Amino acid sequence: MKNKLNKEGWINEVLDSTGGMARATPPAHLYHKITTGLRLEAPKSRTIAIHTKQWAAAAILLLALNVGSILYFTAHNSTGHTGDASPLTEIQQVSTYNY
Amino acid sequence: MVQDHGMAEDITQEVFITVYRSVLSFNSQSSISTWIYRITVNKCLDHLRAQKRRKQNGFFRSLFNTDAAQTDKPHFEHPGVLLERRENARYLFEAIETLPGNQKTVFILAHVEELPQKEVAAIMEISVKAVESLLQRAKVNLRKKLSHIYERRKNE
Repeated sequence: MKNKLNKEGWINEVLDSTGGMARATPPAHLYHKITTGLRLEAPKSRTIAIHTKQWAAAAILLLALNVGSILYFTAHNSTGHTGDASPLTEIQQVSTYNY
Repeated sequence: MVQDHGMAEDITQEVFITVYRSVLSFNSQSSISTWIYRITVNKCLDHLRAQKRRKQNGFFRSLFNTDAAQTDKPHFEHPGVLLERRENARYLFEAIETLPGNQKTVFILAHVEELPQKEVAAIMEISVKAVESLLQRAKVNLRKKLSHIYERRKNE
C-alpha cells in the first residue's frame, strides 16, 4: 500500500517536473544560420515569380491563337455557304486572280 | 518535441524560411503565433517521421551488417528545467518519447508549454474536445510508462 502511494507520488512529481520551466534560448550562431538560409532562399522565390509570368504569357498567347483561329474559321465557313447565292466557280473561290 | 538540439536548430531555420516564403499567403483567421506554432509542429512531425524511417532502415541494415554501430540516444535534458527537477524531467521526456505523434504534440503544447486548450486546438486544427481526449490518453499512457520506469529504477 505504502509502495503504491510512493509510486503514485513519484509519478505525479515527474508529471509536474516541467512546471516553472524556462523557455530554451537559441544559441548565438542560429541567427546567422537563419539569415544565411533566407539569403539563399531569396533568388529561388524570384525564379518562381518569373516562371509564373512565363506561364501566364504562354496561356494568354494560346488563348489569343485559339480565339483568332475560331474567328478565322467562322468567317471562312460563312463565305463557303454563299455558294448558291453567288455563282462563283471553284477556281474563283480559291483565288482572286483575274483571268 | 524532437529532443535533439541539432534537429531543433534545423527545424527553427526551416520554420523561419517557410514563414518568410509564405507570409503573404497568411490569412488572418488565426493569430500569427498560432500559425507559426502550426508550421513548427508540422515540421517537427515531418522530422520525427523521417527519423523513424531512418531508424527502421538502420535496423534492417544492421541485420546484415554486424559492423553497424548501434547508437543509443542519450537522455534528453531540457535546458529550461529547474535544477532540482532535472532528474524527474529526464524521466518525463523519456516517457513522452514513447507517445504517438498526436498525443505527444497535445501533451507538449498543453502541459509542457502550458498553452490554453483552445489554442492547442487551433494549432492542431482539431476540436477542443479532441484535445481533451488526446491529453487524457497521453496522461494515461505516460502513467503506464512511468510506472515501468519506477520499477526499473527500484531494481537498479
